[in-house]
Amino acid sequence: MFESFLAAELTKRIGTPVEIAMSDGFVEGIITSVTGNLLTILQTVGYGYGTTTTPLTISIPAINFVTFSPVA
Amino acid sequence: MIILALSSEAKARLLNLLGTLQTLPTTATSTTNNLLNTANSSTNVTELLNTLNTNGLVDTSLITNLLNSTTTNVTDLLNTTTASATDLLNTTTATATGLLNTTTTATTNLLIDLLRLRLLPSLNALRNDLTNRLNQTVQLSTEYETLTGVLLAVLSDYAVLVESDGTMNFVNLSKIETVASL
Repeated sequence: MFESFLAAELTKRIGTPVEIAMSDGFVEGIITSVTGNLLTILQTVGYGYGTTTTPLTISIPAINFVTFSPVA
Repeated sequence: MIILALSSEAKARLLNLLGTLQTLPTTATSTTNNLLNTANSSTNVTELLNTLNTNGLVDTSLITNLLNSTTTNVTDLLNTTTASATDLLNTTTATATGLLNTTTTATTNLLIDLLRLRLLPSLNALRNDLTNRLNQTVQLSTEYETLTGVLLAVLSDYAVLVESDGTMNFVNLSKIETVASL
């Protein structure tokens, strides 16, 4: 079903579009990799942090929640 | 006893025959001794075979063929055995390496999980509280936003909340500020 740890569960979902909420903002993108406690995404919407052209690395403990939208 | 009268000519012939018979064993023995001596002095099988062949005693082609086929069979057997042993060694080595890698990976993952649990702030009380609210509609507040939905699962460091429109949220346990059932 679900993995015990968020990092492991996110690893299973590489390539999936997600919204990630931190304490003071959120980003939208596609998960490209998970390394230890770091999550890397390619942003699809240009607000929040960084730009859409460079990958954004996020500290997993800093994440408030991860949202998966239902398939339209 | 029977006494036969023999002519002097017949006596002479008989004596000659006896003499010939007496010398025959000596000739045969000396030939055998010569052959044995030759065989003993042969340094290898080939020489012995040649000697036998020269003396017209044995058809050496039979022995040569037998030796050749024996050599071929032994060589084939050795090759097959070596190949099988090599295959077996390779398979064993690969299996052992795989097993070792799997064990190492499993042990490392277990250690990482244990360290994570040890380093996490004590979330047991929150996890127990949330576990009691499984399948209920709850409100979870975080610093960023308050989420409302059905609590689907509670894991080691996150909870799964599904909203009414099907949106799924993985909420970091260490970022949950308040919990309320609706």
